[in-house]
Amino acid sequence: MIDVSKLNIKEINQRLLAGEFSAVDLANHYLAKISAKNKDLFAYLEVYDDVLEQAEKADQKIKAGAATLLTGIPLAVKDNILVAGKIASASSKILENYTATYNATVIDKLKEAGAVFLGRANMDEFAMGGSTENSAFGPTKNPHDLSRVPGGSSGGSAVAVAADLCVAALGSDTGGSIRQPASFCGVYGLKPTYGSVSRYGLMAMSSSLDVIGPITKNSADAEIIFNFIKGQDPYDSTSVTDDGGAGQVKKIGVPKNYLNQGLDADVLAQFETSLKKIAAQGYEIVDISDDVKNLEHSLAVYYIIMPAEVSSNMARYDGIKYGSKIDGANLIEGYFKTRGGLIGGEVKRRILLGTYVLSAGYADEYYNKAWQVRNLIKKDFEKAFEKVDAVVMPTSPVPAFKIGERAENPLQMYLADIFTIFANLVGVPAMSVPDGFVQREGINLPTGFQIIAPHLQEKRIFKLAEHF
Amino acid sequence: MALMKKEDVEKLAVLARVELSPEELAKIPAQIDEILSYVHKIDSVTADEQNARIESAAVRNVTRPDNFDTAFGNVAALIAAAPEAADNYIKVKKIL
Repeated sequence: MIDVSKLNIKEINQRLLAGEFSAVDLANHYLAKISAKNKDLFAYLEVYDDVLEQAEKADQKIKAGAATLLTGIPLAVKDNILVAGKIASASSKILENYTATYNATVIDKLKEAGAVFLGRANMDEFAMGGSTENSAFGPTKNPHDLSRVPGGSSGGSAVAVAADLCVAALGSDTGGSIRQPASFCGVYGLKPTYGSVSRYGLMAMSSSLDVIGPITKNSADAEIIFNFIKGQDPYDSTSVTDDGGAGQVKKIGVPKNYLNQGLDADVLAQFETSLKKIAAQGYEIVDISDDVKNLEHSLAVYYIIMPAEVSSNMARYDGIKYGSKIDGANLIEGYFKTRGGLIGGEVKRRILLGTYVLSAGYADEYYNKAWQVRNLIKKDFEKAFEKVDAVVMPTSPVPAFKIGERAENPLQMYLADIFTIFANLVGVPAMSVPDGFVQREGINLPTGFQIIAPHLQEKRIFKLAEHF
Repeated sequence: MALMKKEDVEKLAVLARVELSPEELAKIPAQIDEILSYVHKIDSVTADEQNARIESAAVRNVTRPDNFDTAFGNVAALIAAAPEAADNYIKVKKIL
C-alpha cells in the first residue's frame, strides 16, 4: 500500500480507478493507522464494524464504472451527525448508546457517492466548547503536541485529518467549531454559507447558527466535499441552493482595529506575513475597520442568542423518547434526574444562561436586543462587501493551549472564538487555511488564516486558498 | 453587584428541568454572572426597530400542506430507541 497521506481526493480517485489499490486496501490501511494511533490521540469514539463491507460496495461501484470522486474515500463523521444504525452520542452520556434511526441528508448524499464512513469522531458535548475537553468520554489530543488541545468542538474530526487517520472528515460549526480546531491542528476547515448544507440529521445546537462542513488536508478536497454535501433539501426549510458564485476577487478587507483583541504577538506576526504574501499576488488590501463598527459586539451577541437557542434545542433530551435515563419518583423528577445526571457542566451552563435571557422580564433586554445588534452586524458586512470581495483575519487569537488551561474559566474559553463567531451570526462562508507555525516550548504549533466571503460565494474562498 | 445569586440559578434550574449538584450550585452563579456582565456590552449599541431591521426578498416562510402521505419507514427503530416501551407505545410515568 503506497503512502497516501499526501495525496488529495482526486489523486486517490485516479489510483483507485487505475486499480493501483482497491477501496478495501485503502480502508484496511486507515483501519490499521487508527488501531495504532487512536489510543494516544482519541480522535475516534468508535470505528464502525462495517467499514470493509462499505469498501467492498465501493469497489463494486468502481468495477461497474459508476464511481464518483468520493467512491471509496474514507471519512470520519462528527458524533453529532446521524448515520442510520450507528450510535451517535454528541459525546454525551445522555445519548451514550443512542442508535440513529435515519441518515442525515449529508450522509445520504455521501453514501450515494460511495464514500466510506470509518467511524464517529470525538467532540465537545453537544458541540459546546472550543477544546473537545467537554466530551463526556475524554479529551482528544493535538497531534502536534499531545499536552495541548486540538480545539473544538470538532476536535476529533480535525485530529483524524491532521494525523492522517482518514482522508477527510465532517464537522459542524456554530461559532467556529470547524475552523478553530482546523487552525489548531494545521488542516483546512470550511464553514459553508448558512443554509447551503442541509441540517437534517445534525443534532441541533443553535439552529440559526449551525452549519455542517468539511475538514480536509487541502482546499481542493474541501471544495469537492462541499459540492457533494450542499443542496436545497425539503427536510430543512432553511436550506438554499448554492453554486458558489463566480469566484472573482480583487479587493480584500481586513478589520485592522478589531485585531487588537488579545491577539498573541506571534500569531499576529504570522497573520501579517500571510497578508503580505496575499498582497504580493496582486490583491488590494483595504482596511474595513470603519465599516464594521459593530463587529466588536459579536461575542456578546453570540453568547446571548446561542444559549437561548440551546436551551430550546436541549429540551428534547428528557430520557423518554431516546437516549439514557435516570429514574425519578414521578415524571418530572425523572426529567430533573436524567438531565441533571447525564448532561455535562458546560451544556448545563448554557441551558441556564439561555433560560435566563429568554425569561419574562429579561427577554427584551437580552434576547431581543441581541437580535437587533446581530442585524446591525449583518448590515455592516453588507456595506463592507460592497467595497471588498473577501475579508481575512486570523482564525484564532492564540495557538493551541494546554489541556486544562482554560477549562475552569468559561469566559476565557469563549474569548478564543472572537474571530470566528461573526461568520455564523451573519451566515457568510469562511474557511481556515493553515498558514504557518508559532513556537511554544520548542514545539511548532499551527496557525490558521481565515478567509471569509459573502453569502453563497464559496468559490472566492477557494480561489484565495490557492495561494497557501 | 452580582446579577446572579444562588437562588436565581436554582429557579432557572427548575425552569430548565435540570438538577444541579451542590458543587455546580456553588460554582455556576459566579460563572453566569461573569458571562452576563460581559454580554451587557450590547447595552451601548443604539438599536431599534428601524435601524435594526433587515428586509430581504430571499427570506420567506417555507410551508407545505398538512398532508400525511408518507409515514416514517422505520417505526420499530423509533420504539426500540425509547428507554421504556410496550407494544407500539413509548412508556411514560403517569402525568395526572
